[in-house]
Amino acid sequence: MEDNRNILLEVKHLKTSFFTQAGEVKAVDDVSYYIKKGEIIAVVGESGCGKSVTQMSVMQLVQSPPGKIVGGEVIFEGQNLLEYDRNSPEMRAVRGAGIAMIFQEPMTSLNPVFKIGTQLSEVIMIHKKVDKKTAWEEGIKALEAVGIPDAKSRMENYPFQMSGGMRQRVLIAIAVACGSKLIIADEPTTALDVTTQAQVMELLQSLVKTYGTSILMVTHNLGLVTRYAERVYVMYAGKVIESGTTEDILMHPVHPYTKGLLNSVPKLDASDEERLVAIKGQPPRLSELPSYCAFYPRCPYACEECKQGYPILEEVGPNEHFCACWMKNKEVAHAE
Amino acid sequence: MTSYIIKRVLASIAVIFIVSIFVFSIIHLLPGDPVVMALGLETPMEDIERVREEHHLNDPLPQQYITWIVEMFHGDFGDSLIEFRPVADIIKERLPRTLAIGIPAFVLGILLGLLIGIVSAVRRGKAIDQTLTFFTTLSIGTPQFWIGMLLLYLFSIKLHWFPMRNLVMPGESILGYLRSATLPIICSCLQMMGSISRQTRSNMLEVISQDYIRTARANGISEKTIVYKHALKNALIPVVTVIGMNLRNIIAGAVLIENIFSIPGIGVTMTNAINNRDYWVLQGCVLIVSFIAVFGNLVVDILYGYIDPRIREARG
Repeated sequence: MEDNRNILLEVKHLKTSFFTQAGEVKAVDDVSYYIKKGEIIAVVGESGCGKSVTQMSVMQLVQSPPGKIVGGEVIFEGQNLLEYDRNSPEMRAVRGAGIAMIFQEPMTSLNPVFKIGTQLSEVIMIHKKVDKKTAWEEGIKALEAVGIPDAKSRMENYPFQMSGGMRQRVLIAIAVACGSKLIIADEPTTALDVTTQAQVMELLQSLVKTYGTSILMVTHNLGLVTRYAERVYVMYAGKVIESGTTEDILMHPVHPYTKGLLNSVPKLDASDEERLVAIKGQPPRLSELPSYCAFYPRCPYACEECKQGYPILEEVGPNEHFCACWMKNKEVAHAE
Repeated sequence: MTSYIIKRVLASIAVIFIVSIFVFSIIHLLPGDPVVMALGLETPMEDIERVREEHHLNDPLPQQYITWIVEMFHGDFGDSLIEFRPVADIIKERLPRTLAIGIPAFVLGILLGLLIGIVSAVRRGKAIDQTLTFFTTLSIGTPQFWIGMLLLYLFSIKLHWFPMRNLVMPGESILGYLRSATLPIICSCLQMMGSISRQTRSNMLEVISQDYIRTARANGISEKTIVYKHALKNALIPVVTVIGMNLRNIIAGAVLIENIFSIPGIGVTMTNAINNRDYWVLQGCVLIVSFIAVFGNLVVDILYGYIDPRIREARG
């Protein structure tokens, strides 16, 4: 295993369920992953696969009720965060300062009726225990650090006076100002145009170099994964179904779902005859999961053996390449 | 912000001008000659002519309007045709009584409404929310005159806790005021309290599910600060509208309340003026109500700009 001292966050067997009238919906089912200091990892999957809920669970921000973390551990810097009450001061101290979160929608992620500076300095005041004036000064520095020109006057702006990319930078600035060790970026660039996407990603990457921040990207954009992530976790129906280094996942995927995901990405060097292959069917409803592999109904390699139960994650290669599939060792079945 | 306020004030002055034309037209739009209606059909022609002259009713309309405006700026609203004394005196005497009920009811309505709305939103679905929702819905749905009569029947006639009539002004006796004003204030604030609390509750619930609230939580801001600062300021924007619309009810609502609780204020004066065709009194009262309505809208607009920078930008 990895050197433990280097591990910043380790999630072990995390389970989050939503208790609805239709019964228990297992949004996150026995998910484990870790992230080292100064590392960029990605969690990939279709909409509704539980990738965002996993991150909200780490922050204990899942709406409750109906959501509830029903098991597992979230060990951040040696401390199990799930031992803290969700509204406790200890948990709040972690949010924003220890682990910061950046969301998909920069346009709506800032409060429309407060100045940028007010929102920024408020969080700084809470976490750094400084007075208003100092917090404001540090806010200006943070805006400068994330590359916002004319930071001093920008502090006086309201969110509606800024572009999407600028707002995303402001949210990153909050993380920078509070010295966050981990930034969880939940589809950070989905709502931005392509050039802005690149700028925001370069900014996040520069934080890793400058401050040794770790970054966890939640995304369905495999382009971002290739470019920035060192390791990848692929999620399907609330479970991690494959994990490994970016190279292993992209070049030597083992799970049929991962393969399907990769095949559905357009390639520049593809010949004209080659068509995009979509994964057939819809992601399963989490309330109606079978007692066996959840990908079974959509899997091109499905066979009777697959119905023997949930496949567990097993090592399929060097460099911690894991995969949860009954057919993973059957090279024949996976021949292209 | 300053230019925004100036623009709002100018717009209000324009509205007041238009309103004044409408109020001025009351006399000329209503069927029948006001003087004949007031003095009776058997009045000799000379008397009618004399009164018409006195009230400048024979002048051309634009001139009448200007005379009327100029007189008003001098505090002269004309004389009552029934009480034979200046309308300004009548208003001066009765407005304080109306305000003594209307303003406390207005303030109480806002405070209770906000409080109930926030509590219901924060405790959504819990027993306290359901109880409060039940009572606020009831308070909106029940006609004011019926609540008023119930209150009188229960607390004045049966329990003898409060007097049935004779409002005592706070200047005369604080205790007497509290005793005599409690029932009308409660009766008059219930409806407003209900509508403000419903509005606050639904806005709070909507705001609390917004992305920026999630951001605030993810940044470690305490739940209390989130509710009372981040969420409330956003939720207040539509509530301000309801408050502004209720400002004119301080006087307009008095029509009902004062008749139920026998308070000789503007409301009763207005109903009597209509019944007795006392045009100048009616004109004066309507003008006061209109001014307050316009002023209320002005306050709302300024509050909007203060709360929501986007509005300031768009309309400034």
